[in-house]
Amino acid sequence: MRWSRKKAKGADSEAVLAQLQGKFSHFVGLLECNSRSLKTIGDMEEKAQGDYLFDINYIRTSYNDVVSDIDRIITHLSALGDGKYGDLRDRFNTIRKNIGALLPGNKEITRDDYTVAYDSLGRENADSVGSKNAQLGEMKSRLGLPVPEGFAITAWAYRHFVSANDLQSRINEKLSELDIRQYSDLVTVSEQIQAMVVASPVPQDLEAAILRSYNDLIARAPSERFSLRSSALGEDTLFSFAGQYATFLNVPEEELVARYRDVLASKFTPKAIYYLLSHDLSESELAMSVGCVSMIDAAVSGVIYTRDPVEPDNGCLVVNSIYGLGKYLVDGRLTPDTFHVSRDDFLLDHATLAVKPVCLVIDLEGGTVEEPVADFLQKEASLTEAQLRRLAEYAMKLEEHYDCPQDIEWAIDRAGKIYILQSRPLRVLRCGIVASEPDIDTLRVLIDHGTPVCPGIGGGPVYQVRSTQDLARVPNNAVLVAPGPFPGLITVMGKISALVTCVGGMASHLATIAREFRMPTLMGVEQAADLPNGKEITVDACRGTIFDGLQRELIEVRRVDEEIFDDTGIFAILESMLTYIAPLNLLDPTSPEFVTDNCHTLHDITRFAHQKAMDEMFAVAAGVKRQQDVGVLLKSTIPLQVKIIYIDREYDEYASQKYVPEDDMKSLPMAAFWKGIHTEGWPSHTPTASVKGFMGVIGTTVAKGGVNGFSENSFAVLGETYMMLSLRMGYHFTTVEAMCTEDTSRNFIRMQYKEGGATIDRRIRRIKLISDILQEMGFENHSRADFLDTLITYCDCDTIEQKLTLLGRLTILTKQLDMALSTDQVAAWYTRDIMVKLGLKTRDEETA
Amino acid sequence: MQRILVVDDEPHMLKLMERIITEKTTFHIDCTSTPLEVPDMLARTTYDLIVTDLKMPGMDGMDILHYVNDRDRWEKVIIMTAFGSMEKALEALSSGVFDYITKPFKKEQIIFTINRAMRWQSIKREMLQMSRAFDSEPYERATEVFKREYVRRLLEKHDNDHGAVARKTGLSEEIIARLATDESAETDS
Repeated sequence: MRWSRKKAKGADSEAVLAQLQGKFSHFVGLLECNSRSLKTIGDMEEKAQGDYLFDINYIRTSYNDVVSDIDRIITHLSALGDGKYGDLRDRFNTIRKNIGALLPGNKEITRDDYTVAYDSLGRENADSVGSKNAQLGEMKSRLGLPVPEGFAITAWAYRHFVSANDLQSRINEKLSELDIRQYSDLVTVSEQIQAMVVASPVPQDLEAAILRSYNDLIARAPSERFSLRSSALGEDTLFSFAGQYATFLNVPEEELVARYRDVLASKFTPKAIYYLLSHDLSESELAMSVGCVSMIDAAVSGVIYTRDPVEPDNGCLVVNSIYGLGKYLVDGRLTPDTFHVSRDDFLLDHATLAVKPVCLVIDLEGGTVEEPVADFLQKEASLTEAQLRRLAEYAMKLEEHYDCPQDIEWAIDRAGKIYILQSRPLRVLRCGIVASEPDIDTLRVLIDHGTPVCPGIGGGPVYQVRSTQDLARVPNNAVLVAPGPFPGLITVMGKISALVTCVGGMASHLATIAREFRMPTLMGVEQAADLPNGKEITVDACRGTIFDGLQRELIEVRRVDEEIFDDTGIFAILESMLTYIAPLNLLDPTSPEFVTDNCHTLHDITRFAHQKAMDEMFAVAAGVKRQQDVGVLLKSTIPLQVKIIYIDREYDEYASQKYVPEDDMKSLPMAAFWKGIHTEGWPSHTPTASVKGFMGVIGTTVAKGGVNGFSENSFAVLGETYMMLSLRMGYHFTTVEAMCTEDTSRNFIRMQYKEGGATIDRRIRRIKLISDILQEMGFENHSRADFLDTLITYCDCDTIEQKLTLLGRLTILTKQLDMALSTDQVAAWYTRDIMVKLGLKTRDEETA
Repeated sequence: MQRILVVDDEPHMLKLMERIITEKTTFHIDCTSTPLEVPDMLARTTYDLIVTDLKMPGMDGMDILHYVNDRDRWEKVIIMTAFGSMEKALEALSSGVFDYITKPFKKEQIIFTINRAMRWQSIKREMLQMSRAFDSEPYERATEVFKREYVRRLLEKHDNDHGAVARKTGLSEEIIARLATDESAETDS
């Protein structure tokens, strides 16, 4: 056997090494998936900003990419944690299920009664009764507005009808044998399926429910005429596209059930059939609700725009009206009267009257009929000022309720009662009002090479921050300039107008957060550090440019441009999916809230897994030091005993060597760190320790039971792009872990300082000194008493190397410094002194 | 007005295209999510540009391209492809597609491509009109007409002084006399 041919020491080392190498490969794999999944999430967020056109295929592909990467992340993590984190996969599956339900074709039909009266509906019922029905219910029950009486036949009823007749499989069968070459093929199949639906009996219990609701309706509705029409189950379904569908007016009781079935059948248009085929969807996508509504015998009808579409800011709402039913207005047959009514006091501002020679009215025989308008009425205003006031009042109520301008259909019956028939968001474009985009060639460019991370344009005074501590004083609407995308920045996203960082890129956690906030963000802008505080600038994160001054027109034009796609179905799908994907709830890894149960989004899962993977790798690599006999000694002029093992080299390859030479360590990060150690050199004397300080050392040592700590070896686990160094110097125990690759998003340095020799107050001073210096270097610190855990991420390879060299120097400069830190003043002096030595501050800054 | 037909089996995409083309250009746009309708639509209307998705069952983007090419129709075709169908895109290019664009794309990208195609079409239309003008009249005769007009204006300017016009143009007085006198004969014939 292989192990028996080796010396015991070799076999032992090999086992340790094999374990380490296994874990390391999971660690690297996890980092890779993590970085890729964040990039995909970032890409999806970018597409949601309104700059791109994309299709459902894009959403599916990107989502599947993210899911498969996170699936791998969890696999890697549980391998790293030896089976721990099983509950993370449960969380993952729950989130996936929520997101999956948002994709077209995956929507489950909501269980409900077969019929529901409008009185008990609200917009939350849209999944069951469709948006038209739900909205009538909402206007009636929540806003107390006069709407026609009626009831909804739910999607659940549709499902019942379909399954009772086994329609799903019969339709799918028809579709599967279809090889379309001609439009006429589609028409044929469409006709066959419609015939199939019409020939299917409505189940008795459903029929009974419909008739019961109908009788209830007759009892309370003033009208005796009712219409049946379909109600779309949401923006993202086929309804919005399938084209014409049947609406039946003036339906008598005995035909109600048959007409209901006709409405269902009417959905299987050639267009709808083609859509099912081309998207590989089943007919459940066509699930529909139908509304039975009492018809208003309209004397006057029209629409209201709560803002003037031509001049949105003129303070008026616009009412259009004609005699009779609204159809002639909607299809443009007649020019309506136009009334401009003040949005504030509902008084008529001005009216433009039209000649209205005819009108469309309900025919008693069924259907509608055109009638002439009496001569004396043709040129008269079709509405009184009192009616206008009442309409305006209702309209503003709707705008307030839905929180955006509305396009409202209304009618007034022959008894003079007003009804609101429908209300939907009105797209108001201010493009025509706002001056077109200013000539950017005339603007002074301050910086022109930033990487746009989230498109948009924002402006305001510059506010420079160096770390989390500075964030408390950030003024509103400032342009925040930070050295890198550190997570703390999330706390000010709500108040700033743009974000600029000197380093960092698309895949950082903060980048996804910036996009979630739609915060115009530029990263990788080195010179931004030189922008003076308070200077007004405009950040154009579409072009990657920073302009001098506050360019209001530029900002406004961009804002309008962003909104072009806001109300489209596909954006709604992507945005609703992103709410389960992009937001980050897990912010602080040291918080007790940083647990699996608080992972609410896919981003949370990656954040959690990334942190835990680092912890696990750290624990594994740091744990190796206990294996006394493993590794090969580093040969160095520095008197430090460091044993090395490699995770990416065969043990045999170097175990036969007596030493690893310090000028050929085959590890990029370790070489950088060691260079720092050499720069300072081993001190010939430690800073003067006072007697009290020395006594402290003795005291602590004795209390801990001996001086064993002095003899323990330092240990390094190295790879070409990885280092994990456990360094024992005197009483201080330092662990430095770093990754240094071409992929910025995988790079990091993590350092832990533990256990000092002196009394606790001196040790705390030393931790504070090191924290202050590390913070100046851009690290994020978490310290507890005399333990410090610090981390920096998202730096390019060069930056990581530079920082490691500084850490090497810092290690020597602070060696046993706690002995000397007798007072806070002394500690402060050392802090400044070391910062100057490391080039983080100049002498001038120090004296200033 | 220049007209565009957009074909994509995904209605979502059509809605976005309709929105962006309506708001950012002055072109008239028709849409269909059922490519099998395209032959009928083309029988009714001549478009300047067809923007079509590549992968669709029944009749795909390449079929539409060939349909237009085989019938020598006026339309230019732009094909929208999903990321990764580069091979098809290249095939389309060699079959005479005006351009292709990879989904997802930026608003500016599609507007730029559409404007470029429309400019191409209006230049082509102008050229056609010009060559039609030239076709209707032999070239030599057009030149003759031009010269006569030139000389007539010069004579007018120089009070019918044939000598002065000859010096100015470098033509002999004889030719000038002919161009000036033949005019009526030409017009009459």
